Amino acid sequence: MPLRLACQAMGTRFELVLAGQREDQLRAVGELALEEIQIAHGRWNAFANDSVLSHLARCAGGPPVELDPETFDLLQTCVRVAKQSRGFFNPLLGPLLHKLGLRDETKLDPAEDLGTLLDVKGLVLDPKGHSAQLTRPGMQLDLGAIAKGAALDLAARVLVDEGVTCALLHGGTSTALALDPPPGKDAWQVVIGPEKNAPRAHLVHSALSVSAANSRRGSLPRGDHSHILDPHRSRGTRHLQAAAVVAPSAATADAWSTALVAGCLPSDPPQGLGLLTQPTSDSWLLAPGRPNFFHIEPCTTTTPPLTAAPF
Amino acid sequence: MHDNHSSPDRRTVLMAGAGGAATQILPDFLAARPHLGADLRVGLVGVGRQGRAILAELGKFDEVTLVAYCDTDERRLGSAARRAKGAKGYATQDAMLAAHPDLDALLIATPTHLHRAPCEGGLAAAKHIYCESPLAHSIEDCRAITAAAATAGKVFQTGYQGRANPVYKLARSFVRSGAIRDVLSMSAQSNQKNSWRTPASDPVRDKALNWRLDPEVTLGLAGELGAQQFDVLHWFTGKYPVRVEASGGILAWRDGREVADTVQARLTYKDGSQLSWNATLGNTYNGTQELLMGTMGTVRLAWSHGWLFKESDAPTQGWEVYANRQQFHNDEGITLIADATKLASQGKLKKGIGLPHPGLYYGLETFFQSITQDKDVVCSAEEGLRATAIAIKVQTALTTGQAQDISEADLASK
Repeated sequence: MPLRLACQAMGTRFELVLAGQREDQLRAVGELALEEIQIAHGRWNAFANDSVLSHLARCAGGPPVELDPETFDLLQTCVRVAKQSRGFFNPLLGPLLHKLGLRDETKLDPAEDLGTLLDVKGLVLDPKGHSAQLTRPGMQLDLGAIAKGAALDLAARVLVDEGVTCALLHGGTSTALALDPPPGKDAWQVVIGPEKNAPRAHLVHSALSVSAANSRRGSLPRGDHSHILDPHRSRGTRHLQAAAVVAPSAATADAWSTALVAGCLPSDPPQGLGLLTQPTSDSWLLAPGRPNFFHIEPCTTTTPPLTAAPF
Repeated sequence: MHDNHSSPDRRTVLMAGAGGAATQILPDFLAARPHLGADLRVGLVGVGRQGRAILAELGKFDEVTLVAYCDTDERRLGSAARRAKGAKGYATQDAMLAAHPDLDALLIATPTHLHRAPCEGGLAAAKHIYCESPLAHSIEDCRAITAAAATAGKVFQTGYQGRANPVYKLARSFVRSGAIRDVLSMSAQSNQKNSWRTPASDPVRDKALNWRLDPEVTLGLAGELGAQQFDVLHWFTGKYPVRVEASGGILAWRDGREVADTVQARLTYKDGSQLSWNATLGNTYNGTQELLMGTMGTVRLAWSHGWLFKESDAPTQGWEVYANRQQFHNDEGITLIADATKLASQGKLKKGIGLPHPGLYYGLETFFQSITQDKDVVCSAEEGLRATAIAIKVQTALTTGQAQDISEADLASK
């Protein structure tokens, strides 16, 4: 029987499904991986005063801030995807979220140009000093789903370092990361949605992220269509119903599924990523010319929670 | 010790601030970058879980440079090398000190039963010492460390973090000034879900890494979780228990361990009041918190947050009109916000809810300030010994099944 461990972090539930010989050792390793997720939560929680993100926001407009290697690596990924996606993925949406009433009561300085605060060029990374600098006061990182993916990547690294290689990890059922397949199987099958004929992804040493425009209706700004924001229009996106991305890392998968729903083109992500988009509520489309990690049958999926089928 | 919060007429200050010219200087505890006034070169002894947490906080101090670190575990040294850019790793403290004789201070984050040697060695080498809590695993080691600290002429701080925590300092000022009047009873809990087992591939490494589960050396939950809380409550009330009873067992993790994973203890004070303490590794409900119940109110503390619940017949203070409140079922708590007056004057009261740094940060900050600014040490070796001695008594009561009396001599450093 696989061992399942779980924890609450980043406003969602993370779960690890582990296979191996000795349960006490598996549990010990799994707990170490969960601890890594909790550390990531502590660092990247935009809502918590004591997170690294809040610290960076307080230091905005000042000198660079030295970062731990994990946060620095994640911000590098953010900047890279922001450029490749032509700004449809943006890690600096904090001020926009405040403006739309999706964060606390903090008021933006009316004289401050929102576009300036959202400009990714204002996030300066120094690889030599392992530091980051937000160049203008008021700038604020909000990593959203990519933080969840990055936490899964870190947890998976702990598992591998400690010799646990057969595992499936997921965060909030919207991001899954697979290591070696379950015994006797070729891959972990992850179903994208609750319907019988929902698309399935086949994962081995890869990650899947699904972003949906309508998965959090309760938190939408009035009149908007999605909690995923189109940074170029400063409002909820209306571009796609959903997008699923398979990538080597969960952080990359999360960043690109967000960017696709926000409005980037399927040609924007680098080669090697598997893309599945849902332009309307009753159709899924494979992006042409991409590796196919998916099995699709006709379906009417409108909401995309993942259902892991480990064994 | 200088206490920013014990002064006084909060109403007057708040009213003046709200109506008058507001300064835009944020309270010290919210400052993005601490100012120590001098550069410090430090070494880190032990780079396991706690050492890693220390590494993360050190990056926030521009004037502190981590020069070197050491650990006997090769894998942990390798992991630290990624996190401590520019610092050099060593297998022993002696090697580290030999290579870097100019270090100003050492941060000791070894397993509890291995605190004594690095503390004594560091003090002998004329280094300031920050030693993680509990101070040691035995009263003999506690006294040896305390004796070394007393004669070294260097700053020695025990890592009991409540004393450095801005929310706790504020809450203490309320309790000490009579806001909840007479303290009737106290309770504390530390609940988490974790087997406490660290993965290790071979028996030697397993024994070294799983010291918390080794009955020969561990202080169990009482030492690793409870001691911090005992210290807070002693600090708040100024009194120490005279008797302790404890019970518990292995209820959550029946994996062959011999160390209890669930513990209850009752600590009785000379005046008859009691502290009820519970800890478990099998349930997370309500996490870690402390409660002081008085005749006029209750203070609830949860490390980054704190609340004051007033009895209906408690006198109302003017500043309460502006206070932030939070509902807990039938009770409404006033959120304890450090430097609330200053924040309120700037319309930033809510920015003070939840500390901007983990508790560890404030422990380190006060340690560094004691070195560079000659500020009083927030938790001396002697204070560290007392809280640790209580934890040792709790653990003894648990393992023997016998109530333990606590005399003044038990808490003495000699």
